Amino acid sequence: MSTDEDKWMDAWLDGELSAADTAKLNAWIKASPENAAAFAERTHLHSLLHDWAQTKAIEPRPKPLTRFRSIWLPLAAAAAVAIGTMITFWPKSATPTTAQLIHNPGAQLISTSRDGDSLHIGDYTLPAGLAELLFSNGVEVVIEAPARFRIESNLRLHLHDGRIAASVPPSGIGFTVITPTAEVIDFGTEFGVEVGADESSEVHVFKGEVEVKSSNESVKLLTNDATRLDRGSRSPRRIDVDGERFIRRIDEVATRYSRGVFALKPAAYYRMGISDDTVTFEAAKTPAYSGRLVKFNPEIQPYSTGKVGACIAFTGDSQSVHAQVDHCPPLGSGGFSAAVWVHKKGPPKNATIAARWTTDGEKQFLLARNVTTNTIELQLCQADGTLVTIADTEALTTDKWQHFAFLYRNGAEVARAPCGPVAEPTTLPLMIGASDRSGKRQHLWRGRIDEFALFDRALTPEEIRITASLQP
Amino acid sequence: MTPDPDRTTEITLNWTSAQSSVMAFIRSVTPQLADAEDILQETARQIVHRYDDFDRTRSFTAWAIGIARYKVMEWRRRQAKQELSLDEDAIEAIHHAYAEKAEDWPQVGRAIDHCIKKAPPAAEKLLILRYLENLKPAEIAKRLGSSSNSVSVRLSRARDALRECIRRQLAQTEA
Repeated sequence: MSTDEDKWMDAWLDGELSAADTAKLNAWIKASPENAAAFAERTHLHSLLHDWAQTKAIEPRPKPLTRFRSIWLPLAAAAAVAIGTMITFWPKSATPTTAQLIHNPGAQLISTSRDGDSLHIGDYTLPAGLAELLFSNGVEVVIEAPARFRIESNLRLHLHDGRIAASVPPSGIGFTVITPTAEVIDFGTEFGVEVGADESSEVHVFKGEVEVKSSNESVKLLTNDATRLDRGSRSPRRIDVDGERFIRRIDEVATRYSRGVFALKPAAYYRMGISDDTVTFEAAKTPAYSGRLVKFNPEIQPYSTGKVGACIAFTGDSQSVHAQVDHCPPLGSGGFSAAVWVHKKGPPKNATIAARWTTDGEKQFLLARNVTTNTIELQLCQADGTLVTIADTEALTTDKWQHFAFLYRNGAEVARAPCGPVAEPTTLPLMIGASDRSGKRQHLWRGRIDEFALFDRALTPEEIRITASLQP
Repeated sequence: MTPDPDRTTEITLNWTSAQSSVMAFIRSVTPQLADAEDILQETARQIVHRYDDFDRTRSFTAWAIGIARYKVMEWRRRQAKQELSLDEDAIEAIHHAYAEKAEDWPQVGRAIDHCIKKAPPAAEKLLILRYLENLKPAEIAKRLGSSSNSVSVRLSRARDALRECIRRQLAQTEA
């Protein structure tokens, strides 16, 4: 049977205790050390239950961190470190692993200390692609090629060169990245470190706090701070934070935006995330409509930081990638819509966001930047063969994420024209980042494109407005 | 200041073992998780700065909880609505209760793991809704088509049963 105090304590922990009852609880705690001890016992249980529950999260990846925290074997772990190995406590079996390789698009992580996806203390080289590591204490690190690094323990990583982004939960506080010129100690944050070929180091803090120690100085960096240490210089120099240079996650997580798009039942939704082979252009939930990335230089890593998760970066030159979907979803209802985030770079040029031709050699649709007007323009071919063109009324803003849907900019309608059912069928591929009329690609996009969704119906103005307003 | 790998390693190992108890203390006096995480981070930072003051003959966890107490007090002074928080004497008393048991908490952690496995599936489901999805009893009730009061009662019972099991478990270990 719960007493009043028990009820107050539970309501307190739920953040639901009234001011009057808070005063009563306060007085009760102070009344005797036994009461304070009872409070400690009850609240400690609450915290343990919270930790335990995290181990029940249904996630596609192993989650050893809470296990590590709540199962309380850190002393054994400490002993293991002292003799030079690190032990991870997995729920069932004990595998002596410092980190797990959870994503390795392009599959290129090279090391003699690697045993399948289990990574041990040792030296690693990543000549191409990306790798995402989950350390036994919950620290997640994304490494971009080309990179060389050494795993010393689950708390220390030496970065000789390359670029990494780390996300450090409370269980990983103290995680340290050592570069040729600095030591970066984390206090529970998200941050990026880049070591250049000239052995300079840059540290960018996206959230939280880190300490950067050079040979004779120690500086504290907070959210949105960044610093640079050149080789030979003894003191760090403040620079502007670059939140977009570092890829911080490899898998495309569900966000408010993606959930909003899925709720509208897209015919195909290309999240522009990083695929395992870095070639597949994945259609989320409808793999049959997946396409491929056409790369002219296989060494090029085409991914960048997107509006939501990762995205594809198009260089707009002859080396640029583009995406091609040969088996496009049928758009047979007569109406259709698309929604996309774009981040344009460079001077005005004809540049394609997405295009599809009909077998008659006409555009089924083309969403592109028009060089003459410098606006985003939509061309649609109706079933009777006539072409409808509508264009934005304002010049395209570059170097900033913009949301477009047929034809709304950032959720507000910019142009409309009467239009009958669109032409269909077509057997030609859907192209993103380039258009291809007669086997020769043209009008290459320069900049980034993210979250391209295609709908087999006309979205309502309200649906577009809400979608564009959903923050990632 | 020259980085000293041994010192850093020692701090981080100590911190790894103390962190869960420190967080439990911080959470007990700052129920909003986001606030608690900020305070935990500030505590970790302070521990690194003041590590030379740590007396190695004493419990690191108790020392860390002591530092967390100061950080909680600082945080509390910045709060606008002080009538909704515990006062400094109460926080002090709770801190003592936590610090006193600093070396016992790990055993409680092991015991709870054993006890939860024996909990009935319905209780486990309730605890997951409460602690993983962070739902309040009223929201859980809506999901389960039950009343808020009934959910509160069943949650209390589940926790009481766990506490009882933990007590028995600890008594066995000591015996």
